[in-house]
Amino acid sequence: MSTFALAVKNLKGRPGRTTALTLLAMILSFSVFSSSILTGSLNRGLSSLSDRLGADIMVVPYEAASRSSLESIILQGNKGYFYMDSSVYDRISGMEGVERVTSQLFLASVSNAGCCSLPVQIIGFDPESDFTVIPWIKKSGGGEIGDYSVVIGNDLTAFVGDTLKFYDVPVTVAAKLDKTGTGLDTAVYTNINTLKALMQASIDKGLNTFKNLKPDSSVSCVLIKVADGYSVDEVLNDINIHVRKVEAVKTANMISNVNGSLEGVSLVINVFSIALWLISALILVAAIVISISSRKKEFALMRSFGTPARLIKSIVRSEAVMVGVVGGLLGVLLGLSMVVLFNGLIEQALSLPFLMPGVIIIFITALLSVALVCVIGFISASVGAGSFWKKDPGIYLREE
Amino acid sequence: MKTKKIIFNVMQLLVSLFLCLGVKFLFHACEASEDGSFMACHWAEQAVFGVSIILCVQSVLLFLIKSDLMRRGFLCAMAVTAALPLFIPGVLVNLCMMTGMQCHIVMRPAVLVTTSVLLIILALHLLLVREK
Repeated sequence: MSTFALAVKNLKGRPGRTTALTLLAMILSFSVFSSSILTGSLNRGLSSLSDRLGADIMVVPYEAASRSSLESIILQGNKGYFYMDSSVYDRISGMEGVERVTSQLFLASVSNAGCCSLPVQIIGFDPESDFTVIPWIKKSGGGEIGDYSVVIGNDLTAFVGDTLKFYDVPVTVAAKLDKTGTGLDTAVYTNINTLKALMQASIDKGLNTFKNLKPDSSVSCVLIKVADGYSVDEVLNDINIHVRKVEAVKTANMISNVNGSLEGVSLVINVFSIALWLISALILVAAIVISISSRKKEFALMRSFGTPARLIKSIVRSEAVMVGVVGGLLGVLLGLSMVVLFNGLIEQALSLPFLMPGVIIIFITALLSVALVCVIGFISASVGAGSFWKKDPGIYLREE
Repeated sequence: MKTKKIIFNVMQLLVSLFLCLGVKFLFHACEASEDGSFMACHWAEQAVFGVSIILCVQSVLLFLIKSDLMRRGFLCAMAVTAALPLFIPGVLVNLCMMTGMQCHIVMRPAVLVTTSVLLIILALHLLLVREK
């Protein structure tokens, strides 16, 4: 009979002990796998957000400048709109230290827009001057955005070529953007002409008044790229001092604010998972060592029948590795069903950028988690089995 | 052996009941729109609810079956029924357009996990009553 077959028989012969050890291995593997995926997703979300924002400064109407409301629109996809006169854009364009400038116009769709029972944020950008949305569209494989075409965030399940209706105006989906793990994934992007037409349609239908603002002469925010040789703070202060009724906000501050929350959440996840990891690893080691010690008589009997010590050690290690493989795989399966399947719920609960890694990274993490449990099992078995071979087997057989 | 079969029967019934009640009260689809109309996901919820009722009835009927041969056949039929909810939300019936909606982030994963658990229990039950 091979070592493998003997190990399997031993495991089957003691179902209680095997189940307990497998459960411990499962908890260890689950904590390693799920905490790695969670912290990795949070870090990927933040880096994707930094890539995505693009601009150095965002200028918004003074009344809309509270950081929480801006962040909730940009990071969590909350629907909202605010407007200022487009003369602000002309004024900022001519200021010193401004390399590139573009404007955006926001509009929230009404609910039941042919797709969802919740409204979506529609963002109009100017294709001529834009430097934040177009690079992202190109990166996602999209082309030019004509009138009555829209680009949709990754969390909307429409496809290229589909027709959507906003305020009864039909628009065609021209491209779908890559996922960012932020609220930007639920937004709809279109050129400023289409957005103005949608605004007009909402006014015509009596759904919005926009405080009698004219869509043609309004913008929601102005995005600025600062020229080389100028500091962001310098330009920011210049705008805040010289342009009335607006507030210039540094986008880096918004990211650092998110980064702060993200570091806090990551720390909590890491501390809890490391604690769980250490506790389950220690219990697993202790359980394997104790279970081997409790089998001293069994091994002594095998030794007295002439079984080489090397073979017994090999059986014990095989048992530990088998428990590690089964428990590790179960832990990874549990982690997949909790973290991967429910990632949308986790993202919503955390309200932080959350971008799941790709299949290959998940697969590698799963393999490493199972391997780690197997290595811990192997080492514990080696330690447990290596301690009592120096004594004569008869001593163990005579013990009470 | 008989006790083990009863344990498996009870587990099947409990998971089927959990799917049946869960999809209505715990991990239901999105609420109706402001105008009272339902999104597509509502019909996915209704379909899963309907299938879960069949699973509950099948689980109860299984208590009455004495023969292992009949039990095997019944379990195979039940496995096919149990696999159906895996494909209802998002494949056979569309869900909402935004993947951040309740139907995507709660209903679909919960139905997938519950159905997978039921399929595993059915597979283990089949192994228990397999032809020796």
